[in-house]
Amino acid sequence: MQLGHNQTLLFLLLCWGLFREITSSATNLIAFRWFHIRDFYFPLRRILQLEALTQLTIYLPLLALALTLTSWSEPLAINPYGLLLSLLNLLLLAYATAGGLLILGAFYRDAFHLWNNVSMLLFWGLPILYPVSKIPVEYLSIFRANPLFVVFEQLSLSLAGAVEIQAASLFLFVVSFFLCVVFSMSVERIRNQVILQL
Amino acid sequence: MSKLIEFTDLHFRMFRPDTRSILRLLSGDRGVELYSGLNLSLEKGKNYLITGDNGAGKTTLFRLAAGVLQPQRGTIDCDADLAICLAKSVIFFPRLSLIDNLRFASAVLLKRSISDAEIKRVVSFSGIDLDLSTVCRGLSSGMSARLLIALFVKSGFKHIVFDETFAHVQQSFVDHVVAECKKNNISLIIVSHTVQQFSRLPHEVIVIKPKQLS
Repeated sequence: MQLGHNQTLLFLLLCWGLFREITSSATNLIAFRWFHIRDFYFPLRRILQLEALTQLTIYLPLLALALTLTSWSEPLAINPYGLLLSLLNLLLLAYATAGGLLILGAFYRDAFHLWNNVSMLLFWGLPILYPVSKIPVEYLSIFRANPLFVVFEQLSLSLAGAVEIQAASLFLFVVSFFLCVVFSMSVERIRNQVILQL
Repeated sequence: MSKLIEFTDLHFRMFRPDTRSILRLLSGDRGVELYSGLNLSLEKGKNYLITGDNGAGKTTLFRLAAGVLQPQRGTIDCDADLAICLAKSVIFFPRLSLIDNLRFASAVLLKRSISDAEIKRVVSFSGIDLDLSTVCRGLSSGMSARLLIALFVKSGFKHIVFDETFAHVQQSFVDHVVAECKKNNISLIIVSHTVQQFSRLPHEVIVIKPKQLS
């Protein structure tokens, strides 16, 4: 059985929610939820990891529930490897963006408000509420410049049961993994700026 | 006498972020230099009272010693038996019970777990008549400061730094803490503006002035 339009939309919206929550928490988490770290030593990358884990515990059961309920009557024709790779890419990209935003937020106090607007623009640039086929071919390369577009395109393909795994998804996996490592190592270098703004 | 804390050639520059931080950074602003080559050593067995104007760098000095901030240059050597209390309250979660807040505070501030019997001793020493299962919402700043001080005094550490922790507690409790520390040979380093509070504690006074120590 293939997923219907509404089920695919629900799944994609949940994935967007996961990305949005992990990244937006990075810009405001220090000031609103972790301000006690001015009183004792706590590694900054641990905060990013804990926040990502918190969002995962909220969204992963929802994603699993959405898939289970839709495949209740008969098995779904989805590409599990493509789905797994897309989710992994989404997580790595969210974590890397969160690290980047945490660093930006340490130097630019209004990064949180800026990110709210940027993420809204990002949302409309992703094939969530419309299929990739609706994008005019001459503009497709501009849309594809956004790494998140690659993730959501692969997600849509995998949910539709397409067996292909895009080369861009594999490339994105390597790049986002590298960015995750770089930002994880870099956040501790801005410790003073983070603490001093509390 | 051996050293309790030793700051050697300490350099620390503060860059306070604001809405124009990026422009300031691009224009070459690297912030204010708080310490430039600071050398200071505090000895074991002595009590110290560290005072100075607002913004002189008293709290920053011990944030550096606790590892919360990192110096740009220089070294800080601390004795293993030193506990640094930078917090102002023991209540991290107002919706949690007193016992859970004390367990959490002990884990994050002292990096050690605390038994139920020790928690009872802490609450008893603080002089606060509260059940351990009481939800902490509504606890006054003075009460939570007393619990925090009691947690550190009863922790077993032989040297304790208190940063402005006594600001909201009454004089009789300060005297109670001083007597307990004298009895158990605990040396205190108090960072405070109110020197008079500690008249019963034999101590050396260190005055921190902006960009220098005297």
